[in-house]
Amino acid sequence: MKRDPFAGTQPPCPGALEPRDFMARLQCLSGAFARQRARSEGYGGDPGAGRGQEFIGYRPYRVGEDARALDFLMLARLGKPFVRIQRSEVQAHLCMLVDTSDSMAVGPPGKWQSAAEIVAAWAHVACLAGSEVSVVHAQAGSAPQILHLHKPAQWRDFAGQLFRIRARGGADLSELLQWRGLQKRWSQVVCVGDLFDAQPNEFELHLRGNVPWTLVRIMAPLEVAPDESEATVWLHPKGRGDARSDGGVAGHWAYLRRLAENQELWRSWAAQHRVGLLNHSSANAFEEVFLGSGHGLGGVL
Amino acid sequence: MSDLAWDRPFAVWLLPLLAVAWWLLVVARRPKPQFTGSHALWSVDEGKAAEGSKRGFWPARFWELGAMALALLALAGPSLKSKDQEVTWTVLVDRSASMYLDHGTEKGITRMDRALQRLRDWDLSGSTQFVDAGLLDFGVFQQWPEAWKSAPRARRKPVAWSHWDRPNVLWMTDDANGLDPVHASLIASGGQYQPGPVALADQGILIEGEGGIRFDGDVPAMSVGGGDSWPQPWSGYAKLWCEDRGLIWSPNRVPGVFEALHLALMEASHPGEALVFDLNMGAYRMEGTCRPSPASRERLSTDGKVSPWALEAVGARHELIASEPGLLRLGVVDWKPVQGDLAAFAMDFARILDGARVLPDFVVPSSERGAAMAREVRAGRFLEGPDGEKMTSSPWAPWLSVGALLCLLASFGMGYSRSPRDR
Repeated sequence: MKRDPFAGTQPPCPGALEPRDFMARLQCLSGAFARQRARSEGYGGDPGAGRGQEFIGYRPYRVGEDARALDFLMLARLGKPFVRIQRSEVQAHLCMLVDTSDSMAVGPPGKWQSAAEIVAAWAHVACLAGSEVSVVHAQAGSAPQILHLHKPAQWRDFAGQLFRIRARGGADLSELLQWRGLQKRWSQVVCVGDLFDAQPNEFELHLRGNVPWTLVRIMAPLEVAPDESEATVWLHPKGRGDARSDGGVAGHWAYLRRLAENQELWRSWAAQHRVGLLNHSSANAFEEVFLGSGHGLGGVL
Repeated sequence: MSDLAWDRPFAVWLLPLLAVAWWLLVVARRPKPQFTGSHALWSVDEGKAAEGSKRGFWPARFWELGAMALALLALAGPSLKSKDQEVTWTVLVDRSASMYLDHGTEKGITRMDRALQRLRDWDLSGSTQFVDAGLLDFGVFQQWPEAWKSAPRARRKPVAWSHWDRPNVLWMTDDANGLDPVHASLIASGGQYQPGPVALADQGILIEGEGGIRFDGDVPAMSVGGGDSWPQPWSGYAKLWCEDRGLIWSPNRVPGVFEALHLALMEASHPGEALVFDLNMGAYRMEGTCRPSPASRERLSTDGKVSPWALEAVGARHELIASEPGLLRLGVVDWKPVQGDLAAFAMDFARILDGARVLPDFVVPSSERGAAMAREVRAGRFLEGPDGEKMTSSPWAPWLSVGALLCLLASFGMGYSRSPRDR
């Protein structure tokens, strides 16, 4: 019987550590988010992230804005276009489904490290805005567990538990979606994972009502842009065999083409179902998810 | 392996180095394992190639190793040490007087001894034959001649080394100055300056020493032997010359006296009638009969344009007096009195006697006594092609090269034909 030379090896980055200056960065993020939120008020935010419903006032229409935001009564009365300024309502209960399967231990930089930072930051900002946060994850062989964050004062304990989770044999998003506890009591759902093991139609069963969904897709640099110059044996994180590339341009172009097709599949599906989709590299800082993508947390808060 | 000979043995020693380099290359080129969440995107296509790639990696590496090893072996130039392929080394020995001088570094060791010692140290494979570089026609010896242990009495011509710059020829001399063989090998023993007698005059000896050249009036006693075997009036003429030169006329060898010349009769190589000759030398004329020759029996005549007393016949050369260093052999059997200018006849006869006379061993020209430069050149083992073209001696080298090329092509085939980029 042929021996598997890679038997017993595991993905290299299963753990996550809270960055030393994490709290300071979160405070900066909260301030930046508050400014962004003030600037974007009235635009309604990304549809997938939840449309704001609370009316604040009017302001003059600017060229290029969505005509649906026009207040036609004001236009008829004053003869000038005005748009309604709306602010997103604070979602009462934010649920975050977190992929802790072996594939999240791929890196470096580890995808789970990046996911933990995003979840912690998202929960911090949401909690400051008055939301209740529940983080759902499942470790190997056990039922899903929930980390609760009700008040900002609990965030330290919450983050401590979150960073103790290891991406080793846990449930991926597909498995979490089958959890019966995933009820309609959430007012906002954020899924954090690499989406490589999931299919869009698995999410469709849960999309109902006005509950906004956001998918945060995290990929490692070697998944986004693998080194084409060297031959590589690509190992499945769960030990389901290996694939090989001998190095060279053609094989990598084929991979990148399939990756682009996969991303386009998710992007089109998300747009069609009004689901927010944020792509993130584990090499980037977690702040880019909130500030760099244009989606922001408007839909959440 | 002991039956193998190598043109360039260093290439054989590179083989272990090649194995190490190959292994390092293999390690460097082995696929690096990486975990990825996007495994499915790779294995859609790459998975099909995986098996082929697994199969092709090691065979390709082994073909590469084979190609490099064969190329190295071709470079080394192997050949079998069979009797047929053994090389016959021709040792061209310089037997000039300087070779018999003391080497100077060790008492009692001459330059010739040192050169022979180096020749034994070389341990030439194959057979060896020796040729006197100053007397190329003298013969080829399979063993070192005993007579070569002492200096030759003959006056020697300069050696034309460049004519012997050939493969499997070894020049053995004492002074490498001016010698730069391309194909031949060279052993120059070298030697220190040796002062001593450099010339012999009628009244004494010129001796070169540290303080310059001095004259010693004590001329060593020298004799002419065997003169009584000559008939009259030839022996009379020779005796007169002997007295004029201060030499001792002695029928037998005198102990302690150096014999500068020996006179003898030429032996007939072929029995038959004597050859009649008529030698017209211009100033004088000689007629008579000489020893028979197988080439011709007709009457020979000459108009004096040949060297003294040598006759050209059809396809043969006849000499009335055969001259060698230290030996004169008379071939004249019968003759008529010389007609014409007897003085001219006497001058020619004296010139022949002077040319045959040799000097004692201890008299070595000044040019030979100088310090000699030592040097050794080992030329590669080459054989000479039918048209003079030099080629390597290894008959396997071309086939090994072809094998290396085929292995290289095979490694390309194994390494790349299953690559996914070709599909």
